[in-house]
Order: sequence, then structure tokens, then C-alpha cells
Amino acid sequence: MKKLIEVKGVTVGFGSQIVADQINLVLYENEALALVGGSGSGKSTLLRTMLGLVSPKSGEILIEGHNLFALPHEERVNLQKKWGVSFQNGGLFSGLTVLDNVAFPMREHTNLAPRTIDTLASLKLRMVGLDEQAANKFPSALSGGMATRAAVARAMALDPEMLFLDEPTSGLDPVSAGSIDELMRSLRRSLRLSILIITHDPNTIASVCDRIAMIVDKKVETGTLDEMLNSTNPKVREFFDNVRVQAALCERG
Amino acid sequence: MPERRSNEARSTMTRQDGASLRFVEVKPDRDKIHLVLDGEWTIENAAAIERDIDEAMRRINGHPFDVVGDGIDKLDTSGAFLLKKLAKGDTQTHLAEKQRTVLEFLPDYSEYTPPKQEKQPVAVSVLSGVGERTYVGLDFLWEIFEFIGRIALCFFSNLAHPSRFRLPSIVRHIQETGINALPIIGLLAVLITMVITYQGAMQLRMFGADVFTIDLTVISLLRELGVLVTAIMVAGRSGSAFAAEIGVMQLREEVSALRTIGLSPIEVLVLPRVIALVIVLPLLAFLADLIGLAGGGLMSLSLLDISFTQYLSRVEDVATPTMFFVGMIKAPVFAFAIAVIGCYQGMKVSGSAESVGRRTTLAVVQGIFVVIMVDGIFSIVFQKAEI
Repeated sequence: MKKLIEVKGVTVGFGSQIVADQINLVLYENEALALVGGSGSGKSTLLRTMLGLVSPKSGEILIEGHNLFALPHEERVNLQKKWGVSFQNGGLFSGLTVLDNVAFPMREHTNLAPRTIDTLASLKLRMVGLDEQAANKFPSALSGGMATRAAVARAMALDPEMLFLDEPTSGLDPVSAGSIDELMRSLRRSLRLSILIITHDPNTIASVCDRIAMIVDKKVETGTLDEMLNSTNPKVREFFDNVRVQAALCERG
Repeated sequence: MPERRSNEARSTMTRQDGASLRFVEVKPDRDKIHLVLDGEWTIENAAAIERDIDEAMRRINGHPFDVVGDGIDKLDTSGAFLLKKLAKGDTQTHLAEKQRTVLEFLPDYSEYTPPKQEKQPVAVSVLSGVGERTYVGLDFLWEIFEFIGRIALCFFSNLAHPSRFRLPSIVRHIQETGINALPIIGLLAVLITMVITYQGAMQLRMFGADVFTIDLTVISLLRELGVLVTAIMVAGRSGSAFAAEIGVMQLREEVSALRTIGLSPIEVLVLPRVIALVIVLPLLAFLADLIGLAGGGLMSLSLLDISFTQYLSRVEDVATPTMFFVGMIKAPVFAFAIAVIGCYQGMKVSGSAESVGRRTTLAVVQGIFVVIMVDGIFSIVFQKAEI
């Protein structure tokens, strides 16, 4: 399988504090990888490093074989166009309506007709389950769950090959969370996207992701759900036993 | 992106030839026209595809057609959207399985209709605009006095419990608005007196009265300019900082959090800032007076050949305590106005990052405006009282 992103010996942290040490991680083509770990274990920081927003203390990030931090600016922008990112708090532009938020990347990077862009943007909003009424609201008027969905819609604006989602289902009711999970599954099936999801949601882990990477004690452990359940590390086993129980409960409910 | 550009260039070229289009080929058959689709139907080519579709539609000119789409290499949601737009209704389509899954994944196509905005006649909108602004202005007056009232209430009720004055917060704001502002205010005071002394000397020399330059400098500095320049600088520096700090706290719901903890934002956020500024601005103005006088001495030495000792004795003759206090009495009033307006605008922030910018601008503009207006009122009062 083709390696899209390879994290090689990356150490991240703030000041003298190190949150993740010598991390090795690979995201393959057309796979969904869950990045899990306790609060403050450095998941978001690792994601920000993979996106090139933060420089690692050591190690390198290889994007399709190129070192992200050594690439010239223009090539980096071209790579970034193939990525869709939704941040934990949405990261929506507060001065634009939801529709304009989704339309914004298209206006900047394509020369489609304005009307087509608006229609495409409203289509993407409908894909994440937002109606036209929500489309014309400003982000400050949205509930947390709606903001998350709008952020996912914006991440998909440029039809990316890779999606990075930071807790896309947190703060959503089970039904909406389920529809986001379904969306991620169908994105992979029909558009063959690769997705990296930071999540705590047992359902997402169990039903969307093929592989899981867990940050424990500043190190990363990867494997399928079954492998994680039989891990030699008791902390990993404990975490995924909980995941399995909760996922099973939800299934029954 | 060179790839996209070349694709578009090619599609423009072929269109000019009148031959086949790059993404949509028109193949007439006996009873029906086939539209044979080709290439990568992705967002990178979407603009070119859209143009090709329009061109193909123009050539077909309303004849029935079907769509042969199994030649598409790569299809994403944008491409699928254009495909759906092309093959709407019961148009027959021939697609491969992988393309069909993308197409089915997409919600039904319908044109996005922007929300309707009721348009008013110009006369009505002009009049209603004037009315609206009047009400906004009246509301502002009402609200700012209410705000001052609440600050006063909080201040007087805190007098009974002095520990509620939050000394650490006051000290922090004294540091930020006062001590950190010293260098820039000192520099400004020197520059302003230099300019006045220079201009005064140039004009008065024509009457042979250049000794009075010192009178001009001292009187204008002590009565007006020292405190005015300081206040304008502080309005720009600290009024904006107050508005932005409280505004961002408002956006991040920190202000609401304070309320739910049972604390009054006026007591925790506004009062320390107001008190700190009222303490600091007179001190800054005093310092501006001193440094300004020193700057005047420097200019007199170089322009008028008056020695420093002569300059000082002249200053002693001209300056009176009344003159000094007439200047200084304005400082706490200016400080109060700047701090209240800055905090008020901060509390009014809501919604977007844009609102922080707008409110911060308002804080500075209104702060400086009020400072100059109050200065004018003081002048009138002093003149009537013959001070």
C-alpha cells in the first residue's frame, strides 16, 4: 500500500516539556486511522505537526516521500490543497456565514462560477446534514454540534484526498454522530479518501477506522481493534476494553 | 498549479477549433445525440468542465441526448455535481460501478437559492437609516450613563469591603498602562515641546520677542499639551487594549463564566482598569510636563542661546501653581472617560472577530473624541471662572 504520510521519529512538546517522544506513524492510502489517547497526551499537537503548523523538536514528516518542512512554499501549498482539515473548535471564520465558510476555499483556489460555488457549498453542507437555514447563519449563532459539522463540510470543500478530523463527533448527539460516522464511511468507500481521525468516540473507532494509533506514555502503539484488545500494554487493553463495551452498548441501544 | 492551467488551456484551444471538447464530446447518432464524457472530473478541472458543458449544450441546441460517462477516469463530489447537473431528470446515463457510487453518495441536485432580502425604496431606506442611527446614538448615550452608574455603584459598595478592590489586578494594570507607557510618552512630550518652541521662536523672532518663546512653551505645555498628548496616547494604547481584552473574553464566554461563578464583571474586569487608569494618567501627565520642560530647555539652548539656568529662572517666573493644577485636574477626568469607553466597548463585543476590531476602533475614536471635547468644556469653565 502507498504511504501517504510517514511520521519518522518525531518528538513534540512545549518548551522543555515533551508530550510525545520519538513517534513513528504511517497513514496509508485509502485507510481510516484513529488517533486516540488520554486528554493532554499530545494528539492535537501531533496532528498540528503533521499539518506543518508546528515544527517538531526532532524527526521528520514525510508526505508522499517528501520532507514536509524542507519543501518549498509553493509545493507545500499544492499539497495542502489535497488536505481537508477540521479543527477541534471548528476553526470557522467568524466573519463569514456558514455557506461562505465552505465556499471560501473554492473561491480562493478554483475559478468556478460564483453560482456553482454556492450550490456546491450548499451541497457539501447537506452532505453533513445542515440545511439552508443553517447555511446563512454566522458561526456564533451555531450550536457546538452544528459548528463541528460545518467544519467538516469546509474540510471537504476542495474534494481533498486526505481528511484530518479533530474530534468530529464530540459534542454531537448520537444520531448526528452516527450520520458523521456514516459520512466518513461513504467518503472512503465512494471517493476512496484517506482519513485521520482524532476521536474518543467508541462508535467511530469501532465502525469507521481500520487501524488505531494510541499515544500512551509518550509513545505510540498501532494496530487493529483486535490487536489493541490483546495488547501487552495493560493501559492500552484497559482503554479498548472500555471502547468495546461502549460500542457494544450503543449497538444494542 | 501548472497541470490545471494546461488542462484549461487545452480545453480553450479545442473549443476554438470547433472540434471535440476535452471533457464532453458531442457525438450525433441517428435519433439521439451521445455526450461522451472523458478525462478527470475533479475540482481542479471543474471550471473547464463547466465551460465544456455549456458549450456542448449550445451545440446540442435542445435535442434529446444521453450521457456516456464510463470513460471518466476520476470522479470526485464536484465532478459528480456537474455530472448530475448535466444528466438531470430522466436523461439516460451509462456509468461504471465506481462512478455510480460517487453519484449516489451525493445528495440530490438543486440550485442554491440565496435568501431573499426585501428591498426597500431608496427614500424609505434613507429615512429608516437616519432613524436607526439616531436610536443607536441615543441608546449609546443611555447605555454609557447606565454603565457609569453601575461602575459607581460597584465602587461605593466596595468601599465597605475594601478587600474587594482587587489590588493585584489594579497593580497589573498600573504596570501595563503606566510604567510600560513611560518611554513613548516621554519621547512624545519632548518632541511636542520641541516643535512648539521651534515654531514659536521662528514667529516671535519677527517681532524681536523671541524671549517670550519660553512663556509660550511653558504655558501651553502645562495648561494643555502635557495632559492632552498623554491622554491621547493612553487612549490609543490602553483604551484599545481594554476593549480588545474584555472583547475577546466576551467571545470566549469568559465573561459569562464570571457571572455564573457569582462575580460581577464590572467588579472584576472594569473597576480595576478604571481605578488603575485614574491613578496612572495624572502621574504620566506630570511626567510629560517635566520631560516636556526639559525638551524646551534643550531647544532654547540651541535656538535662542539661552543657558539652562536662565531657562529655569524664566520658567519659574512664568509657571504658576494654578497653571499646573489647571492642567493636572483634567487628567483623572480624561482617564475615567478613556477607561469607561474602552471597557464599555469591550463588553459590547459579540459574535465575530470582526466585532472585536470594530469595537476596539470605536474605543479609540470615541476615547480621543471625548478627551478633546472635555478639554474644550474645561477651557470654557476656566475662562468663565477667570482662572
